[in-house]
Amino acid sequence: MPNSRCFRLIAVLLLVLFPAAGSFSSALAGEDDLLLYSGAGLRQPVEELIQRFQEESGLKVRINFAGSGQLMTRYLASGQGDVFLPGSHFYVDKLKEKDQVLWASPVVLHVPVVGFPKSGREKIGSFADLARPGLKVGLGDPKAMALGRTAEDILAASGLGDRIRANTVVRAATVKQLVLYLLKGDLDAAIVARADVFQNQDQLGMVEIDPSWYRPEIVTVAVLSGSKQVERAKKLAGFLASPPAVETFGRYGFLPAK
Amino acid sequence: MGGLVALPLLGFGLLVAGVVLALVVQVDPGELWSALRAEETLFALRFSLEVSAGAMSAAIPLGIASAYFMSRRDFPGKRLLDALLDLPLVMPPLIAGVGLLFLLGRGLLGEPLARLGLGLIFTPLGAVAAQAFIATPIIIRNAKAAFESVDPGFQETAMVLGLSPWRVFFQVNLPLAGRSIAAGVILAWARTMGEFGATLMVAGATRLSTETLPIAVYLNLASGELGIAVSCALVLLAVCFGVLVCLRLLAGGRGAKKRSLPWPSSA
Repeated sequence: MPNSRCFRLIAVLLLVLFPAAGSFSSALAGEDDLLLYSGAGLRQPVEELIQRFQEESGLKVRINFAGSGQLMTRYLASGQGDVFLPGSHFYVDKLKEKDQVLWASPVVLHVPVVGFPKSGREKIGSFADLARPGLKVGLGDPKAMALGRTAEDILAASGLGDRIRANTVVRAATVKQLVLYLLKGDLDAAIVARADVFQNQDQLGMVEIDPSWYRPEIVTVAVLSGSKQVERAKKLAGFLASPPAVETFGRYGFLPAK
Repeated sequence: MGGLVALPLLGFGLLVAGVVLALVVQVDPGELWSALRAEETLFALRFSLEVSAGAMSAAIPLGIASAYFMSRRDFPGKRLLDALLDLPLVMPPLIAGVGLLFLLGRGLLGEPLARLGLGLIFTPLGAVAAQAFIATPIIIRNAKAAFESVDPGFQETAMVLGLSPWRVFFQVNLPLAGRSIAAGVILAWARTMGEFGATLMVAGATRLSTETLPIAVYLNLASGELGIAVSCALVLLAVCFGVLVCLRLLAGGRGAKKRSLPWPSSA
């Protein structure tokens, strides 16, 4: 009978899901854990660092990875969270305006470069190549992405803005999206983070951009005033800004801020 | 017992209303009004409607034809194919988008498609393809169940009476399964309107070019502009709610018998 089969199926599902739901909710209820909001572009070094921090301090840290602006919105809406590590100081400044930052320190620089697929049809040798007719260029959305904003400054300062914009076939919401397009050869070039190209050196090449054309985004760590365990939060933030942490970031292609 | 069973309905209804209300109170009316008139919002609304219409015009014939075949024919590997067709339903849309990007991008089909003038990556057409990919399995699922629920006796009678297979489909099976198929089509359309991940990966998030309402919501949320983001979301919800209500009224008005079954009472 289909009915009894249906019931049996539901019973099995409940048996499987309930213990799972139980352990899930106990993990969710880990209120003593520190909550770190981290920009998604910083994932690899942050995961390595947090593991080290947990081993050294015995404290537990939950990490929330997403776009920095989205994380800021998440914090402002919930009021929960201890430490914020966005890909740009821009977001920490915004939170400072709202009196939501107890302590902040620069960590590393988020430097833009021109990334291109090494196996691409088009050879990119200089920044000016981005203006070559027929090239497929990708940029970040200037409002949603820190590097999208930087890219606009670069375009303006380079004097090639109109020609590069004419070559721009796509705007992305995150820098990883642009990197994916580069890796798959759907774009000839894109303005991405140095760290992203560095982490994919075997497939991607880079051209440096004149540093006088932009102000680099500074990855900044901040202790949030919504934190209910300020001392522990400061310990975590201090660790992320410490020289050994900066060195770890360096291994992933980030340049020191100081 | 009737009252007790109504509680879940009431609870969930209140939850949905609560979510919408919580969004509404986030924006002040002035902000909502200026967002409603902003070029970006209007573009995103028009683009969303156009893309979903394009996606549905591909998904409806594809979905109904596939479902009809699946419901009427047995062939080796049918169960496997049936499960395969469900995969897009369980795929996170972002992954569906990444898969489509790999398939339609420069690596595989991109070059041949481009030669045919069918540039799908980073184009509005790509958004249509992504949404059709999401919508078609929903239509297949509903239409297949609908065709299977049609009494085969009607079809046999029609064939005995000498109707051609095409006329059997259009004059017997399709009308009899029509209401359930329509319900599936509406569900699929609603999904395309809210679709985000697949569209984002295939078409990109280029403002005023491939920007659907959900992408507008995401871009503004990502830049911390909650007011504009929520306003765009409310536009999306209002338009979809309006269309869904109209469709239900239309379906009710076309002589459909309203059946309210009696509540089972213990003797």
